Amino acid sequence: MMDRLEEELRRALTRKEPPEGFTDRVLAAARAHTAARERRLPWWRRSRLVPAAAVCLLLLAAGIALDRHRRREVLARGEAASQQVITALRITAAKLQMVQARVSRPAEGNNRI
Amino acid sequence: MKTIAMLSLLALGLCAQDIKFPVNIEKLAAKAVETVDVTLDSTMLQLASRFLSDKKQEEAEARRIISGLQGIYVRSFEFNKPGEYSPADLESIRTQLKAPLWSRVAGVRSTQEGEIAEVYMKKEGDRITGLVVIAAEPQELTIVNIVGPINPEDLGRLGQFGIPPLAGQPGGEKK
Repeated sequence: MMDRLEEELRRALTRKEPPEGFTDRVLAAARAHTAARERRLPWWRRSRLVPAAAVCLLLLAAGIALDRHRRREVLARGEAASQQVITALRITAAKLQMVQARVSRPAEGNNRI
Repeated sequence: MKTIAMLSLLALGLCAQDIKFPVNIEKLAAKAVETVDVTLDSTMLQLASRFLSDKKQEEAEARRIISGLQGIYVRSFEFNKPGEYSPADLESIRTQLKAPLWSRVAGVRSTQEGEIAEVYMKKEGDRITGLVVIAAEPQELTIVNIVGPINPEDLGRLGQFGIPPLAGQPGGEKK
């Protein structure tokens, strides 16, 4: 009984050489499978360049948006500053003019100090 | 060495504003019905000058006037009733304007109308390097501090800002 089992096992486990061209057929089948799977993918997922390009585009867009935001900020600050200059000079002018008028035409009750 | 450089920069920064508006002056904004607060250091003045047009006369003049300045600081308050500020508030400004650096070139006090107007100039050699104007009325208080070299002619040209030129100044009325 044991002998028969051992004999069957030995026979089953005996190394068998693969048929001629087996390796090539397996590799060809694997390549075909990969190619078929890639053909099923949308075009933008077939290459690694596409996601890299998308990331670059995103970074570029973010950079442009940031630059525009900064420019707008500088523009707003510059315009506010220029208006402040005009306001400050107008106030200074008005006050100097007032002092000048008082000094040159002292009214009753005015004292030069 | 680095510490000295840092301290020098700090000192320069502190000197940029000739006088400091005391806290009691800054607090007046809470009581005022209208406040003008202009704080322009040299960086902001440079930025402003890029936005002042050469084609508009007033802006071109302003651009020329501020070209050498290191700062413009204005606090102007309008109150809805008299007595919102005290003479002590003004005194805290005056104490900073002492000789020999500063000299008062004009001072008017109207007891009838309760007005005070004073003009102080800072002189270095024969150059005017600072101007402070204090104008106090019962319901209005204005303090102007201009830091940097001011051409005396510019004081006259200031008259182009919506009011006639100063008498006796270039472009102004002759006596």
